[in-house]
Amino acid sequence: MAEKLEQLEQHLEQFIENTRQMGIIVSDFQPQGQPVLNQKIHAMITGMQEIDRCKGQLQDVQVPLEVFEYIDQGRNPQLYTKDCMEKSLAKNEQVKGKIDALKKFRSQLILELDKVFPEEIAKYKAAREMVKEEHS
Amino acid sequence: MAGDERWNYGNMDMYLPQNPPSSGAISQNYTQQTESLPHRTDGEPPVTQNGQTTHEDSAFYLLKDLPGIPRPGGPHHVSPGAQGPVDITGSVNLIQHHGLEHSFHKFCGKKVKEPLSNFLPNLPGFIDTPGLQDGSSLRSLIEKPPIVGKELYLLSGPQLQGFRLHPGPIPEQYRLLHQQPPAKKKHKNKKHKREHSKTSEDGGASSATSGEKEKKTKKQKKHEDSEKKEKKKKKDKKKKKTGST
Repeated sequence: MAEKLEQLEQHLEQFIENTRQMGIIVSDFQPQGQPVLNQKIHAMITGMQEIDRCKGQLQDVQVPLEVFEYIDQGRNPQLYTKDCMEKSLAKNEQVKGKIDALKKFRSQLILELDKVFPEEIAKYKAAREMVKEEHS
Repeated sequence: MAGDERWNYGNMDMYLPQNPPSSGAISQNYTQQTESLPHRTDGEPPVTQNGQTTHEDSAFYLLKDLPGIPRPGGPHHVSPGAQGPVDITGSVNLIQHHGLEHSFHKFCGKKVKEPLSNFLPNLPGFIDTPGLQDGSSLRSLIEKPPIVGKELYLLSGPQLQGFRLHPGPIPEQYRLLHQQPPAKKKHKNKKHKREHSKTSEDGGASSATSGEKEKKTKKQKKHEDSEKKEKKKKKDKKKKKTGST
């Protein structure tokens, strides 16, 4: 996958460089430059053909749409990855906090319920152990 | 909470189990709690899945998915929440779990530069400007996709005749399109020169003379650099002319 992406990247860079050179030729055109321009146009078409051939190998590549917003704003797309990582870490910590709080609540609840309903809690604990054995 | 208007705190006798628990202490607790627990004023008891009240079965009638407790829908009924223990939860460091520590340190440990040109340093032109300004945004490409699926053929001789251009420069409005942004100058040499010049000034008379010599050499270097640039420009022009032929 990385090789295919590198190949596509190379084709794109060559295409862009070719286009840039065409721009230089055209900006101050001289009659002697016509054959060179024709050659550059041919190179542009072959470049497009090569890029078109690359698309078949990259059908399964998925790009999140939010990255396009970063690029359209002229921002580094690696910032999107960074933001995703930071958000997922923050969410992970948030969920861990909730889980820990619920675990503490559960243990406290069972403790208190055991004082009020000892027989029922004994049945509950026996049932939980049976469930664990079934799933293990 | 929504729907609390129908609930008021009152007599809970109709919702108490018909066979109260054996321990007397618990029955006392039940009577104490009746005043605090809410009940519905519309006269309908809480309804289970089979539409019947199952208080006579167990005090924990909500625990439908545990064995040993009668299930309202029958012994084979499985409630939606009855699943085995889940191995991966939010209590685990998921980044570590998925082996993304290196990526995390790479992106979050170091400072990632803001402009797009830092990600694509080899691309010519001004790429840090927003795409909406010049209509080159990727969003517009998604909203209005170009025509695809047609074969790309090389142009024949007669077709290339359409690309015959008139000699001369293009209008000024189009000249900025292929201009390059100013190249980032490296300040390292200047810092070294400044430091070197400072140390030379502090040295004394002997160093002062050497400093003067350095200044002279710097001026000579500047002259040489400007002469070299002029020569390069001339060479480039010649190459373009010879290359076109």
